[in-house]
Amino acid sequence: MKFKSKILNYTIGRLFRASAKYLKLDYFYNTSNIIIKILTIIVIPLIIYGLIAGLFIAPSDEIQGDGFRIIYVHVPAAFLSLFVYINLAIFSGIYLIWRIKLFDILAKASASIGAVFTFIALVTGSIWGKPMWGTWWIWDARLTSELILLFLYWGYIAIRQSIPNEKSAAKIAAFIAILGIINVPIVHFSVDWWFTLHQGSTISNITNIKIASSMAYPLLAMICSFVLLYFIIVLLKAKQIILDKKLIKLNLV
Amino acid sequence: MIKYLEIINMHGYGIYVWPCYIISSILISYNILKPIILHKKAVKILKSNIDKKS
Repeated sequence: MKFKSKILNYTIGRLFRASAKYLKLDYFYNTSNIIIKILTIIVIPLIIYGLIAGLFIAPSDEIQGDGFRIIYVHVPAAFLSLFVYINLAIFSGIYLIWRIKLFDILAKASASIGAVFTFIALVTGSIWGKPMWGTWWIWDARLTSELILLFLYWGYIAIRQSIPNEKSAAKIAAFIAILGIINVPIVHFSVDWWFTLHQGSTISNITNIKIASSMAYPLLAMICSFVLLYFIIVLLKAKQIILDKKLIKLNLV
Repeated sequence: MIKYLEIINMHGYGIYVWPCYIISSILISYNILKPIILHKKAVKILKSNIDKKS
């Protein structure tokens, strides 16, 4: 077992060394512009379709009426809150093991946008809860674990801002990000593990969609556009962090 | 006109649906625009520094 993990570590390490050129900050900074442009070209029509079809074309729900249309922001934001955290933990893990600066920057950039998506999921869920459950908030397993996820993001950001030594802050924050990954399956499976007021997953996988296609396609479009928006924002933030580092090096800040 | 009002009202659910979209779009737009503005400012500082040196 130990031998196998050593081989895996060695192989991934070699892979990173082979792609060293692509992991350099200058190379990343220069190529990210093209990636941002391509992603923007894809995301604009996707989000327009998702919004128009979700808000105006999809039929009303039999039980929830037009109130169900909150799904088109709530579900993508909730999905992203978990997706971004998994990315944050992976980036942090790579930084802790192989000390590649780029992954620390990507983790730092991911944390704030992850917190925003989690906040959106909580707020839109709370607004949705009022007409459906008759309350803004309830200490139910899904809502509470999602709130803990927001605190994990805020904790990560607070650590990075409060520790003056950049390297120590990055290491401690990365360690906490990896520990916090325990909460991700808890959030995801909370509706199955406990009796909750929150409904089960609408789309647990692509072959098991529990809503009509006229409602599901705009939802899939919105989820894809939120994922692309996350990549765009991460690249923009990472570029800004790289440039800030250069300004600090040159004593211009 | 009545049709537009119906769309906004969403059979009484508009008061819940629209704020969700407004809040989300404000937060996401802010997160897109903030790094762009900060990046532009940083580029300006760098350029002025290069100009001073030359």
